[in-house]
Amino acid sequence: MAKEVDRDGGLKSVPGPRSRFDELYRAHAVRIGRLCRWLLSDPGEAEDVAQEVFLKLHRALEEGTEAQAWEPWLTTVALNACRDRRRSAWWRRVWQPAVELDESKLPGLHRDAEEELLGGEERTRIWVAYRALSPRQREVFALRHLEGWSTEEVAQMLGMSSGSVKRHLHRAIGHLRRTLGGRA
Amino acid sequence: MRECPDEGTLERLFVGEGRAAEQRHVESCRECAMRLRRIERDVERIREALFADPPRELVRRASPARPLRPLLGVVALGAAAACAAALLWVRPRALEPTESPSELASFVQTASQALLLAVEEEPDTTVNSREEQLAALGAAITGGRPCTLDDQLDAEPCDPQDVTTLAQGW
Repeated sequence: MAKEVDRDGGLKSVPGPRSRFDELYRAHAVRIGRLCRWLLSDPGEAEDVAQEVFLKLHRALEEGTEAQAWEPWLTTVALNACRDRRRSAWWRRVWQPAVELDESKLPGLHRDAEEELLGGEERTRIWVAYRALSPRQREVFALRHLEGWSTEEVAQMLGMSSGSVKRHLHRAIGHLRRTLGGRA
Repeated sequence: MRECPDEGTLERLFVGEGRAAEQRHVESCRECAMRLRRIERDVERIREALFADPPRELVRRASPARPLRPLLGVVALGAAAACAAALLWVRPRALEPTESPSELASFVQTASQALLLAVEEEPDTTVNSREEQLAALGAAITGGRPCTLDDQLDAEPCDPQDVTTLAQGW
């Protein structure tokens, strides 16, 4: 699990909102930016939404909100912000799924093992396949396998049952593995 | 359980789903254990690829300056066609006369009488004749008979119209 700080941020001396914000920003900015990039197709949009998340954190700290753990709080805010962005009308009008998974235009599946080793083509193939997942599958896969949260934590953050999380995860992994040629 | 499970079942086991019997089989079957490890390796490859930056060609394709969705165009075109069809259907119906032929004939006759009356009037009685004309037209519309000077002597019922109101209405 790629986490830079412990869950309570190591803030034992109760610093002011400003220093607390700085600390949380330093600890989570990269992670939240990456999460937004996994959930939204456009890197520019992802950057905007990540900034939005930290603006909300700033407001929450100013208002004296006390979260038990800021890491899941930030993750949930980021998930909702990305979902809102996807749902907004202009987004729907202007956007379309970034890439359609067109197998015929991708490099062949059966190549030498050396070539396969995470070369540029494979990376492209994986990103294309990942973006072809449904938004829910993307969320579940990103939280469980990229961020490293447990199935129960993912279920809690997404407001789903553990069974649903596992089903989405199963479909996502099946789809992604097919693009690697690892599944018949 | 003698038969080894398929890839889908193994993936289900990998994410924590699946039956206890399948789980026991995978734990005891060397081949299935290897297949499960291959799934783990694949997920690790996927993870590594997604931690790297997205390929440049995908970022370019994700530019917001792209054209509108083709589907949206089709929907808009369909909506416009539906509106045009609705207009073509509604308009002829709105122009159709709602009265029966006898009612229409009666209306025309009353209206003609009112107009003839107006033509026969003297110039100094223009105001009265206009009022009578309006009253006659109003009566024709409502289906009654307008009041005339003769009605003061007649016992036949007539339809007194509020001329001012009618004129305002027109």
